[in-house]
Amino acid sequence: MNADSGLERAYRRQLAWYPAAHRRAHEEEMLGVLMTGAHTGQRRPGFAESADLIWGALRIRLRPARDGSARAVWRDALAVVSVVLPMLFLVRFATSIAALIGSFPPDHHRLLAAVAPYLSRELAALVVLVALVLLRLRRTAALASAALLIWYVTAGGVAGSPNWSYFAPEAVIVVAALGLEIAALVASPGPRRGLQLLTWKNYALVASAAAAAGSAAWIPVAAFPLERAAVITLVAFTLAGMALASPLSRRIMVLLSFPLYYLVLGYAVLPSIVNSLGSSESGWFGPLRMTLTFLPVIALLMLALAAAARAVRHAVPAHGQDA
Amino acid sequence: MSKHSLQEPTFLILTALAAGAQHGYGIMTDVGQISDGGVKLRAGTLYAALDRLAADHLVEVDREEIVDGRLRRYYRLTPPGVQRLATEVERRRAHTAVAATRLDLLGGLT
Repeated sequence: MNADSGLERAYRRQLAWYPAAHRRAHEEEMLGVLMTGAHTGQRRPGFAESADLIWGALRIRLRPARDGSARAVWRDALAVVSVVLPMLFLVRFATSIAALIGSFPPDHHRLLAAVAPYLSRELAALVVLVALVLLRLRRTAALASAALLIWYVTAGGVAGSPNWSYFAPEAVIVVAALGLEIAALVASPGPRRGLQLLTWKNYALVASAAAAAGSAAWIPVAAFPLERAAVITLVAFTLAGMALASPLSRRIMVLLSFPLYYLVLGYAVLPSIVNSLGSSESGWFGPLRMTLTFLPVIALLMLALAAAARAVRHAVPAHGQDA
Repeated sequence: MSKHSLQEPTFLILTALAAGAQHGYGIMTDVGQISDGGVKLRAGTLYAALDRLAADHLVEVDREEIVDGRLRRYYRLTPPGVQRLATEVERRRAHTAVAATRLDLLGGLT
C-alpha cells in the first residue's frame, strides 16, 4: 500500500508535465493505466516509462492548433502582445536606466544631467503608451505608437541618437518593437482581449524577462562572454518556458522574437564581433551589420507576400477543385 | 482525409480499436499481442496518440467506468476512423503486393 501511494505520487509528479487542460481530462485515467501496468512492489517509475511520459507531454504541448482555431489563436496572441510589449519595454527601460545610473562613478551629476532629458522623454512616452493600453484604448494606442515611431525615426531616437552612426541597437529595437505594437493593435481585438487572457504568472514572466534584458544592456561589452550570455540565456529560457505552455504562448513567443532578435543582435552579437575585431571599421562589418539588421524584415515581407498569395488563391478557388 | 501514412503505434492503436471499444490499458496489451511483442506501447505514447486521434475525430470516448476506485475510459473508432484504417490497410496491402512481386522476380520468397 505504501509503495503504491509513493508510486502514485511519483506518477502524479510526472503527469504535471502535461498541459492543465489535458490533466483535467486524462490525469486520473492515465494514473489508472500506469498503476495497472506497474509491477508488484514497484516503488518508482522506470526510466523508459518516465522518458515516454515526458516525451508524450512535450508532443501534446508542441502540437499545432487545429486549422479552424489557428487564426483566432493568432489574433489572441497579437492581443496579448499589444499589452505585453509596451510593459516589457517600460520595465526594460526602467531597469536599464537604473543600471546605467548605478554604473556612473560617484559625483558624476553632470553626466546624469546630460542624459536625463533623453531618458525622461522616452520614459514618459512609454508610460503614456502603457497607460493607453491599460485603459483599453486600442485605436488611440495605435495612433500614439505610430506618432512615437515617426518621432523616433525623424527626430528623437534614431536620427538624433549619438550611436546612430555606429550600430544603434537601442534605436533598431525600439523601431522593431513599435512596428510590432502597431501591427498587434491594428490586427487584433487589442488590449481589451489581451488583458482578459493575461494571468499574474504571465506578468511575472514578462517582468523578469524584461528586467533581465534591461540589465543585460549595461553589462560592459568586455564582460560579454559570460555575464551577458548568461542573461540572454535566462531570457531565452523564459521564452522557451512560455513556448511550451500552449499554442497561444508559442505564437506570443514567435511575435516577441522579432524585437528580441534585435536585442540579441544589438547587445550581444554585434558588440562581440566588434570586440573581436577591435574596431567597427573593418571592411566587412558594415555589410554584415546591414544584412543581419534587414534579414528579419525581408523574411517578414516574404511571409506577408506568401500569406497574401495564399489568401488570393483561397478567395478564387480553381475550377473543379474538390477541397 | 489525410494522405500521409500512419505511424506504426497509431496504426496498431486503430487496429486494436477495430475489435471494439477498449480502455487505455486494454489497448496497450492488445497492441503488444497484435505486434507479437514487437511494439511495447507505453502510456505517454498512447495518450499522445489518442489526443491527436480524438482531435482528428478518428476515435471518440465510448463510456467510462470506475474499477477498483480508478477511472477507466473506453475508446472506440468513429466512422472516419474506420475509413482511415481501411485506407491505411489498402495502402500497406498495395506496397506489400509490389514488394512480393519484386521478391518473386529476384528468385522467390523463401
